[in-house]
Amino acid sequence: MRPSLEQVIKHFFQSEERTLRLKGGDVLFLQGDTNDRLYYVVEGQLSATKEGGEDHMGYLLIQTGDFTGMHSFLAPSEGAAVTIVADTNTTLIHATATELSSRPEYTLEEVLIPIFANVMESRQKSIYKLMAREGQEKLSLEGKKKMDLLGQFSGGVAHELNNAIAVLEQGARWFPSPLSELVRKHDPLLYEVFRDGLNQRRLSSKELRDRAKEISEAHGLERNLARKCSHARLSDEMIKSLGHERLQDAYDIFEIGSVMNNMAIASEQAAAVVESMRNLGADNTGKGIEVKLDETIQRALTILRNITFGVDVIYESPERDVVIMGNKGEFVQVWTNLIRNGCDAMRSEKNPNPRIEVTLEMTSNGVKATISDNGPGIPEHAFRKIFQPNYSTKKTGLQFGLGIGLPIVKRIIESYGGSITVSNGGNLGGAVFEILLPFIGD
Amino acid sequence: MVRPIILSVDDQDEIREGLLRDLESFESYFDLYDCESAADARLVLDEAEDHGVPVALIISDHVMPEETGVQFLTRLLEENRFLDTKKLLLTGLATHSDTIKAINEAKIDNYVAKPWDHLGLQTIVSTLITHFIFDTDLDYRQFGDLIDMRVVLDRSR
Repeated sequence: MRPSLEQVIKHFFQSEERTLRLKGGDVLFLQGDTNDRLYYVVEGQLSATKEGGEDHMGYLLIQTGDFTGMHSFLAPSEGAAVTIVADTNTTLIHATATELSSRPEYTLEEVLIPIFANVMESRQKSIYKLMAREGQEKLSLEGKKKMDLLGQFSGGVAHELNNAIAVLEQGARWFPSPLSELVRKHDPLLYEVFRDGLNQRRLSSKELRDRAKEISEAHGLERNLARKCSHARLSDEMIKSLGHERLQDAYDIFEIGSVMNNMAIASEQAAAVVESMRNLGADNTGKGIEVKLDETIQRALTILRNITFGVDVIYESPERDVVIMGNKGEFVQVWTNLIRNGCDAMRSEKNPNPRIEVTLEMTSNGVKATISDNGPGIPEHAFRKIFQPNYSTKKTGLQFGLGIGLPIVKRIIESYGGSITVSNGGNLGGAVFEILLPFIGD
Repeated sequence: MVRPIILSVDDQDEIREGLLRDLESFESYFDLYDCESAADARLVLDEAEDHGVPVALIISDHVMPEETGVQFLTRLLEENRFLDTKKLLLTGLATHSDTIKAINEAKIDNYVAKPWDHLGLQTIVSTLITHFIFDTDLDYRQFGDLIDMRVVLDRSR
């Protein structure tokens, strides 16, 4: 009757006198050596390497519970097919064909069959492991290549755009102060209107139209001029003080202030996008400034005020400043990306009551931020791919995604040693992005 | 003399105001209105209808929350209202199928991509309102130099 593997080990691989103890680096046998023994690894690990020929890179691990020496044991005249070296302290027990046929109840063949089965199984396992590792390495290499290419490309574009944007941004920033000085000297009334233009409060088109009607009736103005007075937020006293002939001037000066403000915000946003494109290509430097995260969220909400229009944005500034050492623009970029994504998702679903919630809180060793919405959530199949470049869910209907938003976010967060995860559900029922940032130095 | 309406519909404040600034020259014979949504635009249209004020042109964005420009214009058509009114779609992002729908279902008269060239847009607006004037039997001579003379020559034959 054929023995089980356990019986083979018990009967033939227990002998103290046939036990061999190797230290790490000791050679069991060299490729080409004559070998007539089968070895059982009681404990430890060895590597088999094959030199020469096409498969000189061949490499096999032999671990506790494995058998080795199979090839040369079966064909002693050919010599060992591989060189076997102990990686660590290793204990082996060996047996020759004579010893393996020493028991009357089993033939040699019956003893060898469970050993063969074991060898085949263990080699198969190690091949699968090797294949899986190679596959994974290939995948991550491809991902890295993609990212590098995207980085090179966006770095090039960023470089081209940077100077142009710098001119616009600096201009938009510098303009208001000398101009407001000039206007103030020239006409104190128009100066007030100009300041209002720079810091205009938002009114709905209906409110502005109603006010225009009111102005038209109260001051006997034609409809277009009344519309302009309303748009320039002119009070009744202001309209009277300015007189009809200066109302067009007032509208123009209000618009100059308003447009300059819009240009400053737009160029700031363009600069932030370019900056993050550049960061895609290289590790960012200059994270050494204290950044109040609340400010960066406020800034992102200002930049996005047109996109979040009609969306119920829930955000409460934390009572204590949440400060992290870093780069302000990068955080603005993170919030901008995530909030914009949420709004786009809800918009494409025609959500009648879109809501988005941003939270920021301190944890024991860092900062936790969440951005959640009541949109449709992330589809099951997208979870795995959502942070990969070139992946976008915005392919149908009206919206196109560049497919670089979330990879940028992930890269920024990881550059701070933080993490970002996404799930569905939360308080609002839609997608939830959770960001954890450790305090640097912890 | 009747002052027809030119109506801008866009959910972005800056875009609306920028557009109206570019169309300032039309103020001499038209009343310019702006609305942030299709719903608000309907209020203006209802009032114009009640007072018998003609609406010469609607310049609408496409991508807007709640109701898109194409949906808004299609509904007007289905309600058999403002059939003479010229419709211009001014949009930054629209897919191929949106564009096909805009032409086939909303029957838009022109399509302009954002960001627009202001001189080009003024020419298009001038052409469209001249067609509107002829379609509604208004006297084109009352609209000064806002009229597109090529349309006049074409349609007076």
